[in-house]
Amino acid sequence: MHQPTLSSSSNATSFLLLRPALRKREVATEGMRWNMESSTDAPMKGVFECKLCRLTAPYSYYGQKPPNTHSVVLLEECYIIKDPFTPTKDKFLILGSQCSLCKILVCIGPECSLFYSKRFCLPCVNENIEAFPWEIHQDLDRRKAHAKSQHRKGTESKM
Amino acid sequence: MSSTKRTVSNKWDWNCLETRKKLEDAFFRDQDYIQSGTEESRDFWNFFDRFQRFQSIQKTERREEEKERKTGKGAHPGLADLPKDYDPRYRINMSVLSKDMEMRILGQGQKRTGRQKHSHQSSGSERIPGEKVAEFRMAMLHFLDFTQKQGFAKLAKLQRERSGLPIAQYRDKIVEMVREHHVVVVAGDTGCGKSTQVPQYLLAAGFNRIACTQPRRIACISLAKRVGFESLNQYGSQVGYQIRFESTRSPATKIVFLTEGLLLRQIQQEPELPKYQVLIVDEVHERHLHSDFLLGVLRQLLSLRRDLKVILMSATINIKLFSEYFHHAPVIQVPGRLYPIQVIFQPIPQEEMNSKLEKLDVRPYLRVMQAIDHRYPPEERGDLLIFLSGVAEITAVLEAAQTYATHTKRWIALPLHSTLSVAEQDKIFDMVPPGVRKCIVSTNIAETSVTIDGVRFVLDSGKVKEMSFDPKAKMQRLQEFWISRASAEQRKGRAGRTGPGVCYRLYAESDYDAFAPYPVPEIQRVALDALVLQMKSMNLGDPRTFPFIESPLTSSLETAILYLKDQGALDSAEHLTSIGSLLAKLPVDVVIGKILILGSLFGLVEPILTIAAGLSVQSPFLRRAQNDPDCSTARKPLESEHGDPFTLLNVFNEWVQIKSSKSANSRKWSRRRGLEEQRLYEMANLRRQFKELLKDHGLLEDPVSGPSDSYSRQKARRERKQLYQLKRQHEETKGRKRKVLKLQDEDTVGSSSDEGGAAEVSGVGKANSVDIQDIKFKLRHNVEELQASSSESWDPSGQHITLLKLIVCRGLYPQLALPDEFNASRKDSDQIFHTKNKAGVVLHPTSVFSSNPELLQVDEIQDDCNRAGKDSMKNVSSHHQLLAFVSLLETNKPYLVNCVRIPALQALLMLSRSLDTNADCSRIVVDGWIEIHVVESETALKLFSMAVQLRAAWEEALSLQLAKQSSVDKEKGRERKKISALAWRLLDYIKSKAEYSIRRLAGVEMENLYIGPQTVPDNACLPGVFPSTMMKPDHIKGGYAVTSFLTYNCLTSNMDFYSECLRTFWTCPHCGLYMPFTPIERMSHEASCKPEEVAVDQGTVDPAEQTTRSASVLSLQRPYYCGICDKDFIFTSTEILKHRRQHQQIL
Repeated sequence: MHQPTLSSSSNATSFLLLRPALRKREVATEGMRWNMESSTDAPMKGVFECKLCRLTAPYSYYGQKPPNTHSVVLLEECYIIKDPFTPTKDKFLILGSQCSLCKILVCIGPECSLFYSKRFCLPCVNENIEAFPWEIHQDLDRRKAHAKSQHRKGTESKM
Repeated sequence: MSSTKRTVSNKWDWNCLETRKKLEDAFFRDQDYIQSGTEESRDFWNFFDRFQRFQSIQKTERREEEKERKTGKGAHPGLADLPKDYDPRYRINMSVLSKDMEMRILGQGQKRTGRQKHSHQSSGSERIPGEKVAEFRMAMLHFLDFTQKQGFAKLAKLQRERSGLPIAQYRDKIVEMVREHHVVVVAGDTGCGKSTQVPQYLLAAGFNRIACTQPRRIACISLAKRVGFESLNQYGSQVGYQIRFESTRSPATKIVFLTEGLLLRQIQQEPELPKYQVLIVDEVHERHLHSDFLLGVLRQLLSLRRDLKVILMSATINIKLFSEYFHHAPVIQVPGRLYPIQVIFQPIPQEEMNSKLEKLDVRPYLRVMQAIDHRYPPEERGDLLIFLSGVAEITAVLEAAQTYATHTKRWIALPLHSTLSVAEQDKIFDMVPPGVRKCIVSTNIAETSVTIDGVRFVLDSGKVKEMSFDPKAKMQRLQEFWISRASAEQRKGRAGRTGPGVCYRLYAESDYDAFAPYPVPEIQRVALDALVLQMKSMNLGDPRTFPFIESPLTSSLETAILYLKDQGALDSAEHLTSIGSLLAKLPVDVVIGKILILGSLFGLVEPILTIAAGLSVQSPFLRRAQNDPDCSTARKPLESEHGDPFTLLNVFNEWVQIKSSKSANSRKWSRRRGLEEQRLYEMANLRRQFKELLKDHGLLEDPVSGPSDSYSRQKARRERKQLYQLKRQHEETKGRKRKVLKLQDEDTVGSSSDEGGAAEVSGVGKANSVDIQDIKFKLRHNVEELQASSSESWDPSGQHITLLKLIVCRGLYPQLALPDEFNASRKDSDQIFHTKNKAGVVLHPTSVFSSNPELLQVDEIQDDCNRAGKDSMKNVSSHHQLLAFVSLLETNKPYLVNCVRIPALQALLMLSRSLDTNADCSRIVVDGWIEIHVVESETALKLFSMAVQLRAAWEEALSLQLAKQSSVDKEKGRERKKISALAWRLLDYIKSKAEYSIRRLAGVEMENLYIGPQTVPDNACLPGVFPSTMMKPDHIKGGYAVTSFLTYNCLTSNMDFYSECLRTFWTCPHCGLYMPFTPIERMSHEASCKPEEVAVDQGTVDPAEQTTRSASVLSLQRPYYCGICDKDFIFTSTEILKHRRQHQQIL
């Protein structure tokens, strides 16, 4: 029913296909000016968009085994970018994945989804709240309270 | 649990370094997600400690609340396999694969990796229990989950902020308009987000190759950083910047921020600008010279490039002007995000108005501070920003504000203007302790260039000091004006960026209404030489008819054209000459460009590059250091008695020496001498750019860089690698943490004092002991080479200096100033000078001649009895000097800035464009304003004769150099010899002795200088000084035009009218001919009677000595004895270094 919508071909290309593009950069030494440092661009595959909060970001990998991270595997198929906040190229950042129930794309933000052995968007969690353990209920309450206080803070500072 | 396990865990200590090391070795290997020894592994252990504490709390909680488990009935089938018992582990969507490592640590694996072998040999006996490894693994998972959430939160926050900007609502409209139109105007006030967002919107919409121009370099860098960060490309190369010396641009770059000047240069090279698809011109409302010109150029370019998109971005000022200029381009107006601001008009009462000479009355400013203290409780935060016109005013108000601050303990007063050092400027961003407000006393730099958050109160003096240009005197004038209404609004707006604010205006509402609506565009108040030159080189036709958005003053354009003609950059038809097209390519003042070209001729490139660079940057001498006796003493040895450009040369050379010595700290060195090191870095960069430009244009031969040996290559490579590493490290840990400013107390004299500033800088230095500027410098420049070339320009004989001075003066001509005749009887500080168009100018207090006026003193010849009768023979000396200056700047007085001294008569005869003489050449009028009486007409004749020859030789050498005719090596050698001979002759010429008096002509005298056209037709033409030319009668001045610059016998005098026909006996020094000559015949004979190719005509010097002399001028060689080869060489410093290196290689 819910089709994952992506702005470009989003088929999970196998990890192997991606490897050549992420080869180690040659280290140029002589005659290199400081501005010609190795860049850390990874090829972008498309744009991820959370169907709930409308957060958008380009992603460079979809799957469970992010490139160049030998020891880490993901327990769900995720949309991933190279972590834009660190210069190290092997660090990744998970943007979001599919809700295991309704199949919409959601980001991992606390106001959109949660992970409990599988990904659930918050609307689905709320609909099936009984199925989740008490700790999840508590966590949801905490999130709501936090969101509210955040919101209040935001408006106060603008006054 | 078994008892053995318990004992293990009882003894267990997570803090044990060895344990941690062991785990790191196993889990944080090079191929793992976290690597041992990195920042992240440290973060992990911090996290680990917190996690452990948290876990122990959780455990106890869980025991108390036994869970009542409800199983979802009839729920979604997808929920059926949810784990029955809650465990935080299920909340994490990651897993770490490291079975092999666990095995090893648990002791089941037998093989050891190399790494483990040497790290701990004995580890076999004390293995980590499996339980602990599991605990560690769990912590690691939580850590990974935590960092993911943290990273995502950052990303989400970024997106929230972006979509919260006022411009975000116009995103689709902007994209749509740009698709449909060639030109779009986006108008929005500060804070609406246009500069950061529009390029991103366009990129996301599929546009590529976007250039965004900025008026300021610093904005290019900060915008590229911000946009890179926002577009999640902080460490990628999609977003870059390009400024004069730095570029982060690569083929992958899609958005580039660059200065307007740089884009213009690119158009100069590629008129159709194929590099870009979209051009965004930001801050067009600021109306800078370059941006106005750029708009004109783009308007023409649009007809050539139908696919080009141009977006003009402006504050909401005068939008119609821009829209109409581009054939009614559509306008998108974005409201700014501004809070309401209360305006209070508080005109200064009459008795507090300061007259021009008095110091600024600070009472109105203190009253506002008091009012704020009175009306607003200290808990309500918000700083005060005061706008003043200039540094003197800032100093006055700052002093008062600081006194008030020490008294109330509720303020910290800080200055802000462009002559402050970077570190001092940065202090305004520091935080204040609670209950204290910042009082930032600023020039109009805070109006647009610097944005300070947290300002709630603005105090606007309504004044601004602006540079205006007087085309007649060719003088820059820094004058105080009322600001425009647009500026007043801009200033007011600074109070409402973070909350509602208050703006106090020290003028009446009626004053405000009388203000001009907009500031005067720069094009209407600066010299246009460079602009006209650039227009000519871009083939834009007649500058007078170019469709500027608002035309410059006609007189300014005419002055510029005339000036360029005078400088030889334009010919009489106003076409670019070869020297002109070269000057157009040098991104410097015409004057400095000329100096560079002239310097390259005589092989004095290294010092000339430094001087040219030094004169093109802001002065490195910090203002505050002037009153600091320690600084002045430390500076003293660097001062050059020849003039300010040479002081700059000394400073730079000394600095390079410091830079190249391993132990010395150049930052400290600069600070002690009150130098802004940033300027010296700029000089180094500029120098290099000049050098490359000269090379590109064949004015500088590429030194035959001998194949350096592999050892030194390797060494250099290693060093570079280290530098890169340091640079990267710096970038990773950068971001200066904002400090909390301290209230001034009695002992430490305030945050703005010198000591405070110095301590601050060193504090920063210690915090991240890397001097990033130093690293960038060493990456960009070959310090060894720089050092060699800087020591080359040191020359004990003073020969180079004399030649350099002549070159600099020729470049600066006609910017000459003559000391007043009566200076000797004046106080040191009252020395007066005259230029052609401006009488009574003074030396700038920073000049070396200002502190050492004796350098310009003339020792008058005392035997008055001889000449007592002759009135014109007063002030006779052979030591008269002139000043050549770089600029004339009027603030409260007209000042000469950057002066060089040079012997007057010799320089004038060599440089002037118009020399008029009487019959025996003893009376000379230079450029119509200086009169010289030479005591002996014989001497005058000799000097004239030599000047005519030397000038012709110099001109010829220069045009040869420019035409690059010397392609054959053999020819080159000959030319070199010729040039070096020329150099020696010039030196001898400058040193030649003559006794004369010199004075500025009075206005009336200037009117009656010439005898006017004569009605003696019989000798219409005389044979010229050069065999091929004829001397024609001058139809305006009378007399005869000898050369383009010399008119003979055209001056009115009470002397014998027929003296031009008088012959006197004279012996030619070349051919020994002895016969009577008229003055003209004599010059003519001398010019023709020099043997071919005997360029050296100093009979006294023997040929061998001559060659060594000339060689050393040309290439700055000196004798060098090498102890290892036991041989003598003639080497330049660079060659010496190379030679030494050879030996190292052998060893």
